[in-house]
Amino acid sequence: MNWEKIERIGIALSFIALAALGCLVVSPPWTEADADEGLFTVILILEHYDCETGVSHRYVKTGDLLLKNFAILIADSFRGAAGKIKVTNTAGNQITPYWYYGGGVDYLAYQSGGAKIYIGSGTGAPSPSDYKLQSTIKSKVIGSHGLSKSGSSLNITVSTTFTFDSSYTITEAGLSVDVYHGDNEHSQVLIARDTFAAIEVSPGDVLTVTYTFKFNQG
Amino acid sequence: MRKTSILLASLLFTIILLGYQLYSSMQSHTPETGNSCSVLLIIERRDCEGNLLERRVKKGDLILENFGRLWLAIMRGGAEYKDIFKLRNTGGSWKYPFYKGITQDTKIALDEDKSYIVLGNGTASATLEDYQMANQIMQAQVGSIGVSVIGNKVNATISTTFTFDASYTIREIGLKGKIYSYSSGEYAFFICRDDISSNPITVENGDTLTVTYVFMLN
Repeated sequence: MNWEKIERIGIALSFIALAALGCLVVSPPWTEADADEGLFTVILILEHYDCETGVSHRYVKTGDLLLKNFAILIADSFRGAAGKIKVTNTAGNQITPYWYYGGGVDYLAYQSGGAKIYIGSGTGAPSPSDYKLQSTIKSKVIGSHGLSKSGSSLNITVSTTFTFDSSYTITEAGLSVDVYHGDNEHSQVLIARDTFAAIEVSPGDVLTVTYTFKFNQG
Repeated sequence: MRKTSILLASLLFTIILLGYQLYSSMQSHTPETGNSCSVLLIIERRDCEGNLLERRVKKGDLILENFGRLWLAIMRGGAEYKDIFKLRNTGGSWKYPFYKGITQDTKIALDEDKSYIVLGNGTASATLEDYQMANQIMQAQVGSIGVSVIGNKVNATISTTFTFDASYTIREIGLKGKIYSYSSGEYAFFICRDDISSNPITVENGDTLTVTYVFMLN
């Protein structure tokens, strides 16, 4: 085989490779996108009222990590004939979510209104396998809520307010739901946790923590 | 000389494109602190011998108002029987999701054995308020669920397989669950529905269709 032939084959192969790569770059195969994107995002809003200066600060963090527990609860809630997957509660125990009611029916049940918001002083990077805050300072059940919609967009908010009688450095927050794992047993399962720049609170200060779930919005 | 130049230029361009493609794929797998959940619909059509005929990945399956309301009720509902916590059943009626026995706390009980993926041939565009398919053809109980973690990315999958004994044109797909409520008994409700009427799927007698919902966290 002479050099010219090698050259021609080389050129042909290069163009084939170019065409194939071009297709991959320009249009990934099999994918079709909608404008609404079937997406929900979680926004963490921290409002700190400094009682000494009378000034309020507002921090908005679009990046609260959704945990593996949350994914499991979504799957378990709509599991049909499939087997259950265990979640890890805030005590670190692996629990099978269920509530058994007479009549031989198995349910996945949540203690409605039992969800909690946590604040803490841990600074370790959040990980999907987190099941508790690194260093919890306080937790409190959801105090207020809201729902609004516009077009195909839907926002739901849950919020609670913490007051302080000592000074703390707040660097992490989390959200849990209360899951049954027996007829009368239920415990907190963390579904979101994230860290943020330190917020220094003093006695008398007020910190309102709000989670906003924005559905069908990019 | 000219051919050699073309060959070298083509090879160089190929290497650049290959590098770009490699960089892009690394970017999409780089763990990052996320804050969102995207719903993906994967549809695989096979013939009666199991040969894959078609595979689609559809980003953008609409999350319905019911899904947001369900999570709001789980987190905040409690003993408050307010309209904001109601879900819309498949008949279009607003229903409370709560179960509360005489000596029991208020809970939200999802009947695990009764979650279905539903196919239809209706052409109505999906809207946030949808509570039913436009024209249901058939439903199959969810057959498998799974959760996987790669870095900070967590996927929950909910899947089932349909087998057909006639030809159909699928134009809409939905996901529904069932609540056991104290005041309304059991009722079904949709959490996702989307229309694929702009690019419907036609199945033949003997074909199978595996439909998988992927809730992609972070």
